[in-house]
Amino acid sequence: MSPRYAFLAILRAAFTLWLVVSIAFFALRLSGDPVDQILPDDAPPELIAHYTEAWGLDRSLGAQYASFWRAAAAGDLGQSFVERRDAADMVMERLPQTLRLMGASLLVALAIGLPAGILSALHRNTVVDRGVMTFAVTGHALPNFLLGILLIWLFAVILGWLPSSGRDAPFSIVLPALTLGTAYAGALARYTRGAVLEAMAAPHVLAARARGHGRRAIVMHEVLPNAAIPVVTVLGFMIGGLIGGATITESVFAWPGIGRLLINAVALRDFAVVQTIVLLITASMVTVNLAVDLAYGVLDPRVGAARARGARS
Amino acid sequence: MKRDITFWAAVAWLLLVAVLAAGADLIAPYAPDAIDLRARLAPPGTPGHLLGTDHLGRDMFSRLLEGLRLTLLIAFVGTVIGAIVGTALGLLAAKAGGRIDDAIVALIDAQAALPFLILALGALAIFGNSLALFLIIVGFQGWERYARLARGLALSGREAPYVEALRHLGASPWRIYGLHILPNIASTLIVNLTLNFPETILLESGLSFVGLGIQPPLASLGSLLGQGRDYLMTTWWLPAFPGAAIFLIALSVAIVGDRLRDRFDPTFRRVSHVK
Repeated sequence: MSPRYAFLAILRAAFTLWLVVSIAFFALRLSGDPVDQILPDDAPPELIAHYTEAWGLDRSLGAQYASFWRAAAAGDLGQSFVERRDAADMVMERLPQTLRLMGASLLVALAIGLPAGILSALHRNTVVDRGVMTFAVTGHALPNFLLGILLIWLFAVILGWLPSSGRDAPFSIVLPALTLGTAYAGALARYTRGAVLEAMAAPHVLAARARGHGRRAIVMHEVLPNAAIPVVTVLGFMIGGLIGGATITESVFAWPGIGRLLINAVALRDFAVVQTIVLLITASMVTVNLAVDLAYGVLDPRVGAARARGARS
Repeated sequence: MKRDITFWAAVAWLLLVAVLAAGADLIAPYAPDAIDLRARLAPPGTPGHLLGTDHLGRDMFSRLLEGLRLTLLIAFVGTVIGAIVGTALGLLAAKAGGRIDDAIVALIDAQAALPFLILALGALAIFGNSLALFLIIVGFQGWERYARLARGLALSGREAPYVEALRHLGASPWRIYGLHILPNIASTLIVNLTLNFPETILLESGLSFVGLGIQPPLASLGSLLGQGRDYLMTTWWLPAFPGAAIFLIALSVAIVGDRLRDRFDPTFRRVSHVK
């Protein structure tokens, strides 16, 4: 990986982060004067003036922008209007639950999607292939909230095996993780199938066959390692989708994570909380994408060279 | 394609749904918000209420038609907004080059790095919710893919001999990009449209499902499902019909889009060296 490629990747990440934080700052100004929102309507002018000065709202927009960045870097993104405490604390309390759900869902997606996609490609145009692809297309078209409701109906209402919501029972995570994981298992199976098919068509595979290598050896040593590159990229994108999906899924299952907090905060227009979560997700997404970009450069030296030359798709 | 039953079933279902939505006012036996407290929670098949009624005695069939209409309207208008904004930005980037191109590409990269749902939620929190605003927010979903496609295709398309000929004939850039390059790259953009359409439906119904999208008294399939889930234990028909409708529409559009891509994407027919 060339240093120039790594530098450009980091520059792109920094730009995205800057863009979103700046939009958040101006959105905050657009959403109204925080003094008006927090103080009662009949507050005396001296009190308004006092808070305007105390919160630095009388300074120039540039100075406010600078101090917003300093506060954001220190993790201070204001107070929740609803709970009257630091938005960052509220988010951090719920973050572990969301990470747990995402981790379990990713495991479900990988455990179903990878083998299904590889099998489908190796048995192309057979019943296996068609079965897997039908599952993949269906999983993709079935919205999270609908699959969640179906699973609740089947496992909680009809069979009574699993709890329908919350996180207190030992198997509470099963239904939300299945809901969130299955959709991505379908997408992952499709991409894996495509990547393996692409790898099987490469000339070096033909060469390996000509040298008399067995099918098993060819698949393990020639096909799968080459199919891994696009799959890693897609995994990076999927984590972004997983965050979005977690938001809705948490809401369906009353899972106490940041997704449900976000939905509630949007409904109440609790702006500090919304902003904190959006910035947190942006920062993690930018980091994930940077990691994928760098991993790509390591896995495939040609990509690093091509991107560093400024070539674009 | 002629014998592809799945494909034609999907097309037939979409046509049926489009007709039902367009003629909702004529077909619906009741006004979608007509309350009849004596006929509350009637099961499907009740005389006069084909698909039953909800907790206020509103006819589910009529409400479903109303929800269908709003959902399809938002999906259509939203898809068109994203296509126009994205394609325009992509062509502008290809035409202008230089700093403008760099800025647009950076925007595309930034958008691709973020889950759109989160941005949509942020926008709803700032601007509040009205039907027009919701439509615009949902419409922006997927603009970056049109922009990336249009830019890439225009960059390669403008090297074609006919564009060179047009330039020598003195055609203005507007004419070249709008009347000649755009029609030539349209087929790829239309395939992307069919891939974008179900995602717009899912975004709208997801937001409406959690109560942040379409607000009562208006109803979309998503908000009907969201209200119906409280009755999952007792009256299954309230969530079942809107849920099935969303699923079948998204699935049908996905199948149609898939087949179109298979047909138009030359990389689809691959060889395999593993036997």
